[in-house]
Amino acid sequence: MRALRFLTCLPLLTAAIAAVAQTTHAPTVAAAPDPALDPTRVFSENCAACHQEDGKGIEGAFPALAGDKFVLAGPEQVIHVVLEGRGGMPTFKADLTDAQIAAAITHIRTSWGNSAAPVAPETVAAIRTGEAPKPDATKIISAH
Amino acid sequence: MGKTEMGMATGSLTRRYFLEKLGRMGGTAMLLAGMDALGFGIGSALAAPPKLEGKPKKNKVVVLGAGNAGLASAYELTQAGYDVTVIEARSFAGGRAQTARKGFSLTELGGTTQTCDFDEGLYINHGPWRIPYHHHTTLHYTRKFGVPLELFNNDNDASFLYFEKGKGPLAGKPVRKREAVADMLGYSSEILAKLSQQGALDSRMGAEDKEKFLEFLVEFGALSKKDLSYTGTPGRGFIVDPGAGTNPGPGTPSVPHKLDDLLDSGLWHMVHGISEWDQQRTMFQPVQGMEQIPKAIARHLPDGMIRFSTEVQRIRQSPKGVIVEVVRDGQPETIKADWCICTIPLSVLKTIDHGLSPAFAAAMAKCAYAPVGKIGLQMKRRFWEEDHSIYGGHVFCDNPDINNIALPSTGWQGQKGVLLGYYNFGPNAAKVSGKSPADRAAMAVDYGQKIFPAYKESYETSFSVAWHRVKYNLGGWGMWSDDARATAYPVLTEPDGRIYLAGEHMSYIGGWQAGAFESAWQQVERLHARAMKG
Repeated sequence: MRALRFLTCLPLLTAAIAAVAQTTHAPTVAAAPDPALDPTRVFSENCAACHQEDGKGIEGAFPALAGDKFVLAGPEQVIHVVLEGRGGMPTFKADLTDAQIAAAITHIRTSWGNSAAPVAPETVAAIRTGEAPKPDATKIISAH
Repeated sequence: MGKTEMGMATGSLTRRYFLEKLGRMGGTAMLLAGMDALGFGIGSALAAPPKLEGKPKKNKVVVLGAGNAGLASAYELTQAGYDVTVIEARSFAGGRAQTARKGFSLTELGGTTQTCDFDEGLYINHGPWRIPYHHHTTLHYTRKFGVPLELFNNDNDASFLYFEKGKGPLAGKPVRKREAVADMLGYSSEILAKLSQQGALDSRMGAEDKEKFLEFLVEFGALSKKDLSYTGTPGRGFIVDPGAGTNPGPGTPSVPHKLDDLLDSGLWHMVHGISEWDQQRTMFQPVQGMEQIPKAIARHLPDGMIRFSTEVQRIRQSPKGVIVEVVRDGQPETIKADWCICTIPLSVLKTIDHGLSPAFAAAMAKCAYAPVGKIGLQMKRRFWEEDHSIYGGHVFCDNPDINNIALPSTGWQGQKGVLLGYYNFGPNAAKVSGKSPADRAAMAVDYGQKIFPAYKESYETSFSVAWHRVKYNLGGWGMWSDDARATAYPVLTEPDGRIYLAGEHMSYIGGWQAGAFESAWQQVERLHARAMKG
């Protein structure tokens, strides 16, 4: 009900795949890191509005990530929350690639004094359930 | 009610019997909904506030929140003789039903303070902004309190669609909605009509029906009666509009887009048949902003009933009553009541020391709140009207950071106007809200420039909101997954002791003001029925 249909696309997905393909074909040249996969940037663009650049969140509204046990424990639960959303946090399943989610989670596990292991895109891919939405899949969005 | 009972009821059913039974089971709300279902023509579950008859002994109610749900609860209970106190954290009534105009100030959590500097008389409804014709509860209060309404143009044939992500010549081009609609309907009808003529439908309809069906397709799709082809229609617009004399005289007809191009562009996504139930014409807005509705209700409450700038710190209850600890200007105070109607959004309530049962707390945690962003852009010239003949309505885009540019449904042909520059949700709202207000505006203006050549040069100032970052809301509206709707929501519709929850989140009209009003009416009626029992 009350749904308007909007399109969503994943331009970054194509860019990320292209970037990966390029690096495998040119192993002798040091590949310039893909800015779309820079952990700090992915975090800033998608997460910092709520969790804040300093990872301290906002008390009573957005959980702190700095020093947070949940963030520092095994990455599976964190990956699950980013993929599926929880409470006020939206699902990023259709909007971020596995590589981007890995980058963002790597950022929160290795910044602000946090020192947990980085996360690989393959780990995200293994947890992502169901088919990833196609780049041109329609997404139903509630609009009021 | 069990399946068997329903089965028996339908077996030997008269309308009156059925309605009486509904009325006994579910009160007025159920009764009216039943009347609607049986074709009595009442369009909404609740058409009038509940009649609260009799004077209960325990009549002291504390209402938490002076948004629409809290205001309606307070008003109806006061009319019935209850002694009501309303606690409101903000310095004004209305909750999310806000209107940003000159001087309106908003500080998002983790963000800078924005003070709206639109010209006098200009505004943006950055919360709720439209009222469907069948939202009888909302329209009850606008009628009762004389809040003038004007039409909200929710569907403009002349407006643009702008889809960048498809392929072909129509991708990345503003296309008038009327063109996409006429052509998609035209080609679809042509294909169906020709198939029908070739006998493809012969197995499912007789000759007479087939003829009528073909007639329908010819009318619906503007097809040639001669060969059932679609070659355009005046409704999609002209290259040169018809006029006087012989030049322009009849004007120059436009040429349809190619079906392949429409399909490749993705524009067909915006071609619908009947609109969604809550997006249909007729749509309204209050003259001078949505805040006029809560303001009008608040004006009809006794002076001092709403305690503004007062935050709830702790809620406790005993078998005898409810105790709410609040603080105002650092001064704590304890408010005691027999009953409580709590309209605090669940996103916020769950962060308060609420003392509700573990089952309630678990159910509340299952309601997610939508990240939502809107921006108002003041334009020094109404170029959409002057240059493009677009009076209100929406420009739908396939960039989910923008989604919807909406042209104002007020101030027609004036000098300036405030348009909605984006309406984003979920991860896109999260992303855009990370930008400073100036950067949000720059993003919105750069995008609008792709559609309207005069966008950037006309832009003057902006006011934006990210509802997930607004204290006391933490989200645009409550969202229930199918699982949570089935398991958690029913728990919360029942009172927890003496505390009743109300608000848009406690309805199937979530995110709409009518959801808040209907929920308030329903809970007030149930509270009263219980209070009357002593």
